Amino acid sequence: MTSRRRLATLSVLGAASVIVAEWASIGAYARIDPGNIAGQVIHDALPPVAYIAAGVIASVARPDSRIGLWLWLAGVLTLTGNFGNTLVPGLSQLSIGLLDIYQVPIGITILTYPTGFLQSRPVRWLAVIATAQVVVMGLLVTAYLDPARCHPGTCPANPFFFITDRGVADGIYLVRQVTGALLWIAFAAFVLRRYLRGTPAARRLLTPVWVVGLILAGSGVASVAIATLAGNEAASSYDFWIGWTVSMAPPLIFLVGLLRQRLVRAAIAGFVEEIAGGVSIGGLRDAFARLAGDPDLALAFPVEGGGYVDADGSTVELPTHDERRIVTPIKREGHTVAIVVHDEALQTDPALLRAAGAAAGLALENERLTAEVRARLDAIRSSRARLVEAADAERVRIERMLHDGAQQRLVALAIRIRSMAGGTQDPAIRERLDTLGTELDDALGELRELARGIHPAVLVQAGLGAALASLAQRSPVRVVLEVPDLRFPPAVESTAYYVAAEALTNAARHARATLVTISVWTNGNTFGMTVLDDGVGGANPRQGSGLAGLEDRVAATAGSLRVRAGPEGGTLVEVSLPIGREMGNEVVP
Amino acid sequence: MAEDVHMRRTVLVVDDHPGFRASVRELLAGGPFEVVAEADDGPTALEAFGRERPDVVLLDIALPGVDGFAIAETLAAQQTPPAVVLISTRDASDYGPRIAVAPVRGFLQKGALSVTSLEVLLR
Repeated sequence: MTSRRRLATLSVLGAASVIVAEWASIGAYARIDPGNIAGQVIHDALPPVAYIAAGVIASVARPDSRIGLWLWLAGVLTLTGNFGNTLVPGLSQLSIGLLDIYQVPIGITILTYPTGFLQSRPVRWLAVIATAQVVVMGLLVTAYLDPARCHPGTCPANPFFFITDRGVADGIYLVRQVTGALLWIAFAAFVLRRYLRGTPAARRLLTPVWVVGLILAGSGVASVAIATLAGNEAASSYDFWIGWTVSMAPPLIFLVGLLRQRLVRAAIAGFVEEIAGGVSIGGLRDAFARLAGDPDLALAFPVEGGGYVDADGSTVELPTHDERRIVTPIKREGHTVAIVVHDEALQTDPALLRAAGAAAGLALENERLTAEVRARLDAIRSSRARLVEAADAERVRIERMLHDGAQQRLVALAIRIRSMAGGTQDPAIRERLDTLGTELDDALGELRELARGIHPAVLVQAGLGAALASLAQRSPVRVVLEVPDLRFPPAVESTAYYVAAEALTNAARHARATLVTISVWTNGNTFGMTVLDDGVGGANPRQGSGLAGLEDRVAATAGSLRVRAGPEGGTLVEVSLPIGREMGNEVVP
Repeated sequence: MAEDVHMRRTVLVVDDHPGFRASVRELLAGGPFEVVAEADDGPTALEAFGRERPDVVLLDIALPGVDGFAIAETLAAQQTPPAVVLISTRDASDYGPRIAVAPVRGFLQKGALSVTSLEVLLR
């Protein structure tokens, strides 16, 4: 049944019921207060009309919920009592007996809000028992209503009348009242149970419904108590005013809920607009969190190799079973593009998240890709840094082995040969020993140069300044140094040294420079060095030079290396390296 | 052997390579320097100095534990400090300005060690 047809059917049937019921009661209104028939009609018709209207709106606005039908049924069944005023034999008494039956669908509405489905077994049993109580007790009441005890002319004959014993009738009445009160108490217990089992978000959403439920139960018990203790007249007064007001609460509550839903739809529209304007990374999660009303909401994306990361590339852990958080996937074309980790209570409106997910569309995909790239970049950077560190450590090890091993032995040897040369009188032998000694000295010199190339000890001993001075000293080209008296982290110093050494080599060997200027500067967070020569420059100064090989080392420390033409010709090599928090500021005097 | 006993200066050799220490002893034998003690690290060197009170200390920079620079500081603080000559397998330039500020007479690259170079340095 389409919503148009449903709307029409329910409206027509509902309106017809109200009209027929009020028309059946006109006689009674005329008797009670002939001057105010209209007022009585309005007072009597307002609750059923409210329920029927709420029911109609509900079935159209929330077609997948049963709440509408229960509300509509409650409204129509409210009119049962009206037929008690007719003069149709039997119908009048039956209506009076089954007067309370409308309370069952109202109770169901409260206990199954917002789905309207009787999913819980205990709730289903309560509904069945309550219906049974109303029907059985109602029929028994019908059976003891004696038309002879009415005002003359007000009651028709009662074909169902067979309980003549007034004692039995009173007993039935008492049982009816007591069981009715007990059912209201059980209903209140069920309401409390739902409240206590709810998550904080569920309580926030549904507390008004529970409160109305408890008020209804309280009013129901009060009505029974007043009837039992203070008599029917007092009960009638109570029902007319207080009972009437209370009974209007459920449809009002429902309409408020509907309004809230409209607001949520508006919030989604706002969400869509916000996203369409473009969001910064992380802004998408904020927009989702605002929409869902869950500030701890997490938005995560699947990455290769399993697991989920947020927009920054950091890993997101899925919630464990006992945390009150669940995961809602957002899918596009069958595969999951993102997951939302949020409060359990939002499970009642997953459509909200799905709609938001659909709206976020490309923004989500964008953020997912960024998250994946960032996670990978982090991994790559760490791996590169580790490789460079390992290579450096190996160099240090080799240099030390050379120093402690071969160099020591050969030096001792050279000294021995010198001793022998000094100790001998034979000039021929002395000459040969001298030659030997000189050759050994040359070899030792080469070995020292080799060791320096593998790892310059001066960096560790005296820092970058001294190391650059040493380079300058040994350089065939004149070098001018503009270097502050500061120490930098070892990784920075060694990278800068290798770049300077390579640049100097290029300047001397390829560019035929006559002057090289090395400048070092820092602003606390960044280390910078430039090597400028006055050589011939070149179309591609990096081609075939060792500087290309140093790019990896520089990149591993998240720095940058640039080679370009100098401002007045020649070549300019620029290095920029980030310095961590720990920058040594030893001033070397 | 014509030795002028008064001019012979006593030497303490501090180096952790025994082969090198032996070669120095050989090198300086019969000359104006007499090796009276050897040590292979800081504590041993200070103990030997206290015992022998040499005129000269040949001090390797690369020692295990405390390095030569620190030991030179300690020796310079003694009541009658010796003449300290730093030695190393490496060049002076590998230590930057540290040698210039150390309380020593000078530096000799091990390969350049000889009676003459020592005499020149300690003139």
